[in-house]
Amino acid sequence: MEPVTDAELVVRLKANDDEAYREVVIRYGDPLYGYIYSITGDPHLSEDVIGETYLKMVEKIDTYTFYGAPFKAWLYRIAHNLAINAMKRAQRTLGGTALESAGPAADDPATTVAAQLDAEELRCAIAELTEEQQQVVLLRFVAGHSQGEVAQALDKTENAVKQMQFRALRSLGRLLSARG
Amino acid sequence: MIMDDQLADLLEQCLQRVERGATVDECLAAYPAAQTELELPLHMAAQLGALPRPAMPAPLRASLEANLLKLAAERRAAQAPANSAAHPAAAARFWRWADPSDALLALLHALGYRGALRQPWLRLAALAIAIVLTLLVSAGVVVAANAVIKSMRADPPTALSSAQQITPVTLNGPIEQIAQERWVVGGRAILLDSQTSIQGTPRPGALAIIRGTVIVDGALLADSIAIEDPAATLVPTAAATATLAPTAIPAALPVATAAPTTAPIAAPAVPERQPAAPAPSQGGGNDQTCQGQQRGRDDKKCDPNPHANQPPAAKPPAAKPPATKPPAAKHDDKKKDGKGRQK
Repeated sequence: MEPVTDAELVVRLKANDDEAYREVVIRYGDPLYGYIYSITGDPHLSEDVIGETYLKMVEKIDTYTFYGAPFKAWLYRIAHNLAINAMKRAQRTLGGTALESAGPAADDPATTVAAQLDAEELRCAIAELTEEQQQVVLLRFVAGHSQGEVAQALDKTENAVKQMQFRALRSLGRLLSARG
Repeated sequence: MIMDDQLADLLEQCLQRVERGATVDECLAAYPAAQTELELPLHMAAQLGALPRPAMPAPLRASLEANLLKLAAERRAAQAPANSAAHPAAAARFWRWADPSDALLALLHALGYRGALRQPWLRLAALAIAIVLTLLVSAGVVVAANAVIKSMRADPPTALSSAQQITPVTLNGPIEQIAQERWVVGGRAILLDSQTSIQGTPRPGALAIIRGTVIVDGALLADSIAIEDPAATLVPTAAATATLAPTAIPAALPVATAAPTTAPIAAPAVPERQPAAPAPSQGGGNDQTCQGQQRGRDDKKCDPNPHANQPPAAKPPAAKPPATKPPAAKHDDKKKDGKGRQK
């Protein structure tokens, strides 16, 4: 079966094609889950968020226009917003201890405790960035989007994204250095 | 000191080199002047890339897929009766398809723009463009309507003047004034041009038979002028009256009834020849015969048969307007005596 472009995928999703729904899970399931996990650091929370992401996609697919943001950027934006909101709810519910109590991912045995702690520190530092800076660094370095894709997703120019990227990384470095 | 703009460019170049397989140290070595500024961001980018991104667990994948297929089936079931009948949801989908912001997006992409656009701005821009287009179309309709109305109002006079120009008329009357390109015959202005043919010797008082066409301002443009010998005209015409007929030469026609086909122009001329105060004629009581000769004339000269009552060499009754000195008077200058009286 020849690869289906995102434009064709959107058309078939709007037509409620079963194969299109399977394809969107195959194509974006793992990257989205990893992206969400890099924000939340919690597998259970990530499962809930990705389920909500696909549900939101089905609800909004009729109003989505391919000539706007690319489908991939649109999907990641949904996931990012849901993940951030889930993190805020979790922090309010657990009193800010949700991240520290999250255990390592059960399906990732290669992850060491030290690496987990480093990751937790990094996530905490990311959370202290501005929302736009968070989106830039997560989409660029966690989701692996190109600079052009990040610019499209954030509705900014590539030069603006370049500037934000530099300042976000510099701020992250200073935050982590301040933590020791 | 390197500015942040330049550092951002250098950082991006280093990141692309790292993606192609270069190490962070190799990138820093390539830009020694910015090494201090670039080191921290490059390491942070590397740490971000190293964040754990586990794959989606298989049970989660299966569960997710099942839920989505269930949703798709529900959507198909909900949309099936809507497609068969005129359901409002179908109309709502149509209007979403016809959303001006979508059309604007499609147009921008057709022109080569590939950036993302936020919906609120798109809708605002589409609304502004729609308002401007509506105003332009309305203005165009108003201008076009005004032009049509003006053209409809302008047509009738043009058609009327065209009819006047092509209607041939014939005029009989005594010559009252003779100029280079303008005569007065029977009280009517006669225009002459290079095409006008003149037969006979024009002189004031002679009967002129003029064939021509009426032009826009009501004057008669003569095609041909036939001058009759004053004595010879006594037989066919009892009274040389100024008449205006489309084609024939009437022997005697009441002035009031003579009307050419170009009535709007010729008709006003007819009353002009009517005398304001008819004077008694010398030869009889028929005032109608004196109308053409009566304008500006002395009462004594009002003679229905001026040529019959005077010798041929005598001055014509219609030759001398008392108020003005016509150009024709120049012809008589030679005959005047030293006191200015005509012999």
